[in-house]
Amino acid sequence: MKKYLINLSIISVFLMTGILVRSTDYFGTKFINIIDAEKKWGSITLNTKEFKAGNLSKRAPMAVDIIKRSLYVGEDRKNIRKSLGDPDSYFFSDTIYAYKIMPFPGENKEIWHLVFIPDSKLEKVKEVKIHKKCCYKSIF
Amino acid sequence: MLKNFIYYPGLTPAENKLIKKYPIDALTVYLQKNIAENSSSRNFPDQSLNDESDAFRHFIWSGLLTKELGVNKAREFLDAHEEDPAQPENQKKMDLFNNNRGQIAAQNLIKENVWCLRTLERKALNELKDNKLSVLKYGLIIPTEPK
Repeated sequence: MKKYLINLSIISVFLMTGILVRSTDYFGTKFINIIDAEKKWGSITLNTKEFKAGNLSKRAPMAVDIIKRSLYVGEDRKNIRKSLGDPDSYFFSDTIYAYKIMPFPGENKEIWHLVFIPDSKLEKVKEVKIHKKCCYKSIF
Repeated sequence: MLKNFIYYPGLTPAENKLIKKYPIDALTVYLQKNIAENSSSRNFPDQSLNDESDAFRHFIWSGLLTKELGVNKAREFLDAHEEDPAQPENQKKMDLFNNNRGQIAAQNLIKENVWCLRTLERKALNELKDNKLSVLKYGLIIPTEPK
């Protein structure tokens, strides 16, 4: 009986968590919309050589261009690495490629990065977004 | 069924199979992943991939899973996470190596009866300082004590 109740409470927490995840999108993490992103960083045509070179002062406006033109959406994930180099940031799982788009501003200061959300088969890129990496409080 | 409720992007096919096989354990894996990520963010605010923060995160996650699920089931989930066909071989090796170090550390801390997240973090930082973890891209400052 005790085990049953424990399992039931775990499932309940899980279901509530699931609802929460769905309603807040990745546990309340924030993505910037393209209009605000363009206001914030402007937009310059993606130059993959420059992006790969890692000049963080130029990556943000190029990230805006990537999203504006839906570049890479529907493409094989391997193409991202070929085109933009090895990911240099982290978001949610290392299967989600993430790239820094601005210099590190210091601890507990706002920072954003570019993330490539894969499809459920982990083959192609489903979405490209700019995610607010810092700072959040964990709900756990 | 689990996947229908929880939106967890980036799961490998092997992870999907394990979620179906062990749904309750999968929730534990997910919760421990969040703890490991928070721990990594606290200790390494400027995180990247294949660097010290990456090694630390894998060490902590595998240690926590070993404590929660036991060595073998934790290993099943950890290995499944590395079954991404697009992942370069050297990066997969790095992750598996650091997972293994985390599992060994957790087993020892439990055996010595000094298990807690902070001792696991301290162990991870010490192993980083002593070059006992695999890191492909060096450059981060390793804290002397867990933050």
